[in-house]
Amino acid sequence: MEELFGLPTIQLMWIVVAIVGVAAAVIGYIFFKRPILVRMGLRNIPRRRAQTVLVTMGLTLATIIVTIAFSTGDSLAVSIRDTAIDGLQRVDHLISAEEVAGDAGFEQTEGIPQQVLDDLSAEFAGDERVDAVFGARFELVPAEHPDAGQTEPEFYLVGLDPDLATRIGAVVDESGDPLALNALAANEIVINQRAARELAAGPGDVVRLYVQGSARPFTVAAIGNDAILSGNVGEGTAGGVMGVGAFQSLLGSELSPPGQWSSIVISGAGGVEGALDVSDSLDADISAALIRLGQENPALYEPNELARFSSEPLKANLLEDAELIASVFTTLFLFMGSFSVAAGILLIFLIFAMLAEERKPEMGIARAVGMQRNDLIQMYISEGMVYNMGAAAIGVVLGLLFALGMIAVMNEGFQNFGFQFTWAVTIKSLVISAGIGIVITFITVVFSSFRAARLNIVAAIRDIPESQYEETYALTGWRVLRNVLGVFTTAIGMALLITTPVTLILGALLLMMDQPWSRRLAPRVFLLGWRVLRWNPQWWVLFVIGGIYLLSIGLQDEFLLPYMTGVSLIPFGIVMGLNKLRLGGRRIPQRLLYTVGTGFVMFLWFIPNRWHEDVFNTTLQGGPELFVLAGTMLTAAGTLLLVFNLDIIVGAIRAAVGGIGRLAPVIRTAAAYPAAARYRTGMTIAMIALITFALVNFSTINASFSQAFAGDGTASGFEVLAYSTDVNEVNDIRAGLQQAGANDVLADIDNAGRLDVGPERGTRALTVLTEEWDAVANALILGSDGQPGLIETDVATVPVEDRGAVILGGIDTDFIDGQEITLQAISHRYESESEVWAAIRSGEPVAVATDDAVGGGFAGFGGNGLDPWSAPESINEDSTRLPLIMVELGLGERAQRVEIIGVIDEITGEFIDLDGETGSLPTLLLPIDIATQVTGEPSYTRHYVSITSDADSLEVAQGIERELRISAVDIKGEIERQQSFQSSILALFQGFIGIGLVAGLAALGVIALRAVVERRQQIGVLRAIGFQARLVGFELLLEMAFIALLGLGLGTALALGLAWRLFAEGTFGDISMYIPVGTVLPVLIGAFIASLVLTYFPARQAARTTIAEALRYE
Amino acid sequence: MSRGPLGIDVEAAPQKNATAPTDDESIIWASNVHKTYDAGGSPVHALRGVSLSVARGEMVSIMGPSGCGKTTLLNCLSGLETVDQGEISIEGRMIQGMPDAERTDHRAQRMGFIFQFYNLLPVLSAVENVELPLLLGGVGQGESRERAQQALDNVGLLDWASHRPAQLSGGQRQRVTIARALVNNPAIVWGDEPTGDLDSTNANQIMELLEELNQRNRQTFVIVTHDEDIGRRANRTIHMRDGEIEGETIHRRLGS
Ligand SMILES: Nc1ncnc2c1ncn2[C@@H]1O[C@H](COP(=O)(O)OP(=O)(O)O)[C@@H](O)[C@H]1O
Ligand SMILES: [Mg+2]
Repeated sequence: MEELFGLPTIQLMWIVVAIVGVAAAVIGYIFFKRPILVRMGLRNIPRRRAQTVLVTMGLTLATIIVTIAFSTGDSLAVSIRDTAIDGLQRVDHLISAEEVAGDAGFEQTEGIPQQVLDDLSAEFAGDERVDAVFGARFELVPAEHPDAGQTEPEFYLVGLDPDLATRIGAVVDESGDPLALNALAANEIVINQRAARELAAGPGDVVRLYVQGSARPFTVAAIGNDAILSGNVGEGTAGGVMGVGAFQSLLGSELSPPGQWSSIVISGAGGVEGALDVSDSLDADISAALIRLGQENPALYEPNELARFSSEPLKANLLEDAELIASVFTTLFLFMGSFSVAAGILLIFLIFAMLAEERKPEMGIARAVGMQRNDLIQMYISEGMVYNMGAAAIGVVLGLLFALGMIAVMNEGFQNFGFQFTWAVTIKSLVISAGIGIVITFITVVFSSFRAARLNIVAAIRDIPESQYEETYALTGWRVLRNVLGVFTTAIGMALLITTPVTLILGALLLMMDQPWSRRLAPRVFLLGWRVLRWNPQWWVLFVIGGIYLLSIGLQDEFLLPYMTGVSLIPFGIVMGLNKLRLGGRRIPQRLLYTVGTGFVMFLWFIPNRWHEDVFNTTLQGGPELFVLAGTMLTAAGTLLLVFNLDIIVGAIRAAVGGIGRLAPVIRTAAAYPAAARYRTGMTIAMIALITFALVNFSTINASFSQAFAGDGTASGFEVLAYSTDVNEVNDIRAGLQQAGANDVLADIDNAGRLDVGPERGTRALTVLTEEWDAVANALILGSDGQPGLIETDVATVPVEDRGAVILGGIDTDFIDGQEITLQAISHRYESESEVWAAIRSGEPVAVATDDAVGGGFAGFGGNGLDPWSAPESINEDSTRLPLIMVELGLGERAQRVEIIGVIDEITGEFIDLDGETGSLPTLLLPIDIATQVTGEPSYTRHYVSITSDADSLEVAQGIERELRISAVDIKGEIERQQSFQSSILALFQGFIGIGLVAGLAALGVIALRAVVERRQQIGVLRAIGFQARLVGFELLLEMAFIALLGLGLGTALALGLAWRLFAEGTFGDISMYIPVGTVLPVLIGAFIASLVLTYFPARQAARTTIAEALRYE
Repeated sequence: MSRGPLGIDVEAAPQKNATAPTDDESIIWASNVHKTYDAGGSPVHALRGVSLSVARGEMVSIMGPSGCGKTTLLNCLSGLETVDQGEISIEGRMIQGMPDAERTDHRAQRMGFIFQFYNLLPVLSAVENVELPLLLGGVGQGESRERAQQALDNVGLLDWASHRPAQLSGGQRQRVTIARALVNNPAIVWGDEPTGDLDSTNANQIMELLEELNQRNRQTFVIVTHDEDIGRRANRTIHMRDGEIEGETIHRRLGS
């Protein structure tokens, strides 16, 4: 991977290494200056094994997550890159023809004339970057292997100049050795691996290729590696290659006019990867050559004033895509993993707090006899850093293993798609992963150490709760000023420190110029800030000032991330500040403060984005990073809200279980302990809630999408989709089947509609007449003549290139009768969807369009600057009425004016969208006769088949393929395959997110273990006054279950709340929210059971406490 | 019976063995109890054949130097700990060999405990601490609360019912403990240095309270102490040394 977050990864690596260096320097400093502190810190490590394991586990999480993210990215990059290179071989640049159809100027063409190839060959004849320029012909020709009884209708036959192809090794065999195409006899063919599999054919076998109903036998001479020039033209298609002469004689001059190429290939010099470096310059030169040739010979190159041929650096583009996909995945994994990282950080905080608690008396005495607080901090840091280093190493190894497992799972999911990932990792990624792990944990350890070292000596020695010594103070101007100053100086210091390399270089330069002061500037400023802040650290000041700062940045950049961070931090800061404040000697009740504050933060997250925008009269944008922020802030707020109101919850539980009788005292104590230990209860709830939030939110959104796109409604009313081409033309599926005598297949077919697809590269279209949206909004504003106000375009004035491209689909009445497409908007002049379809059925010049014509500012087929799709403010997204929209389709004599009277719903129209999911061209469905009028002959025909209720869709599809030798897709099966693919990917992501649950569970284990130690005497007393042993264990189990449930419940509630808001707000368009109870609930229940299993051991230990001993010792 | 100025029963000289009164009135009866601990390989004979008996309604104090086995004896008698050898009967039931669950129920129903430290659960309020034994015994919530408040009233802490232990003074805490020990009307109340953590004023107040309750309810009190003044307040003091009973002093006879 070369880039992440738009930052070169190599730079990222050096930054990380630099920070690790700073961390190492801190440790080195402590080690050499105060070796005694290091020894005191390290002494604790072997003393408590279980603790060491847990701390290491928490610290490991961050490294594991980052390693998985990077290693998955690397694997993707390598796999996709290898696949791309393998599938392209010597194809570096590809020149193809724009199919501009329906123009009176020249006939629709399928190819590139020989002249163009000659021109380009001459152009690059002496160019040392170029090895060869040659033409390639592609045609879909059904194939059959009669001996094996296998047919493959989707077989791409390639024709190449055999001598040239052999010279450069354009086609290779499975082991990568070039195949000699010029040695093929006239009846020989090389088929690709996929074809060999599908047809069960090998060298020496005879396969038959069907052209317009008649078959020609070819002997398989060799198996070629799956690549574009062996007929694998994309998603793993079967195919074969032969000399262009044989190709020509097979297809005949009508289907394949001589002197025509489908594409022109340019192979760079230096083998398969040799020309990548010069790809950019070569691409520019090819484009320039095409333009120049166009000027010299416009009749051939630029009819209609539009460039007819375009060039693409195919290999370079695919490799770029590989990089992009890899970095997108890494980013995605990092986002999702950040929840686990956060949980890991909380775990460390918790464990350090526990450590501090445990060692409090000891540390108190150490402080009393003169140990500085700084010494304590250094001691904790050195202890933490040992865990840290160990954890980084373990984390990288575990992360790599996890990634390996994930790749295996992904391969399982991708199996159906013929794509396999190989596991890979680069040194750079390893360094970054380990480094980021160390940095995150170092920062965490430092913070935890500060907190752990903050103890009240008296409270510590007497081992009484710190809270009795909690400081509050009266707010004075001086105190505020000092804090504000502290924050700013610290910020400057931090900034200087972070840019240390820069500062150091600058310092070194200044030093050379005899300016010694500069060397000390950075640390000085930093230390000054630190000292001022440390004087009386007030995080709340930082929160408020930082919050305001972020808020203003967010507003300035119209960016939600800083805005929402700021907006959430400010209330937290204010609450924390007020909490310390005394008003007339009294503190504000904590419950009130925190309930109001956190409630407000949650409110901010649950209101629609529009409200935020309205308050500041601006627009705010954001991406997936907001989920991380939302999760963090909502969990923080929700946890605080719970923790400060635990007694109310506990009271409610007590009231509810009052009748349980003998269990009452157990339940009472089980609820009372977590309520009394807010910090650890809160931390544990937060950890569990964070992960649960991520899990539930992600699953819900993901499941809603797959429910929408892979649900039963998406098949448009048809179960099988068959394609016929001019090579093997089938006009009517049913007639064809009847002719073939396939009555069994015929009997399974209920209806078969026909859709003629126009040229792929589009027909030019232009809006000519439009009623403004106001016509709809204001219940038709009528002009003086009683007609809606129309805006007319002077068609003649609009240049061709300003016309928008569309794909036309001509549909017949059977199609209309069989379809179950939903229209998301219809013209205001029609009453219902069925009226719209009836209008098309009757052959009127009307059409329905896909919604990609509506969204994204597509300018209404261009031309007049009028954008009929961009609705005025008074029309909201739910508007289902269209104004009058007239478009002119096609050019010249073929032009037709058609009214758009409906917009096809994105979801139910998925299989109708002729341009596919990723395409940018809108699809128009209109009466078949009008379509033919505009486009001439269709480029191919789709048959949409609906089957009888007891028929099997796969059987029907196979029957059609077998009998008619055209390819047929089992849409129903396709949807099911997609569903199963999606659910395996979902499971993968769930597993990845769920890694963080380990932190939550470990936290439960930690606090349970600690409870057993801490409460020894209390357990003794309970046992003495009559608690049965198993009740004591049960009590602890109940307590942990209570915390686990609060965490799981909180996370789920927040996730569903946020998801509900997003869906209600229309963030995901028309997709409606679907909660995947079936996948989420088992995970939650599993987590709950795991938490019980984990606390079972401490609970058993508690139950086994011997009373006399418990009471005897401190 | 005559008492000296300090309340010591001058007539009754310490006897060699505190033998069990053979009448049926003895609520606690132990014979030849042995208890050995394994302290890191070398056995510690904490009790070396202790026999004693306590009459119903009696207040007995156990005294002796630190480490002589007082706590061990109390724990063994109350069934908190098992014995190696010997027999112990509480209210006519032999408790050695009784399964733990049964002993626990027995304690819950018939005994109350007052220890030196850590008596109360810090996370529960005073009244909640006091009502625990009642709830444990299956008494309904409403009645438990009422009786717990009554018990707190008896020790003069009704106003502090909703306070947490951390908010109470040491003396107050011990009173809450006493309220808890007595709330379910136990037959026997065990106290292991119940005043050990208190100053003498508070200690005296606690002892007065215990005496008063003992007299009023005719409950049996067995109290371990190393404080002469405290020990004297009992009907009888059992003196221990090196895991054995050295003798006893009778301060005032039961019922006098
Ligand atoms: N669990 C134990 N393990 C080892 N020795 C113990 C244990 N409990 C008590 N002892 C020892 O038994 C003896 C009696 O202790 P204890 O009954 O506590 O004395 P007292 O309460 O009179 O001070 C002491 O020597 C003590 O060290
Ligand atoms: Mg003792």
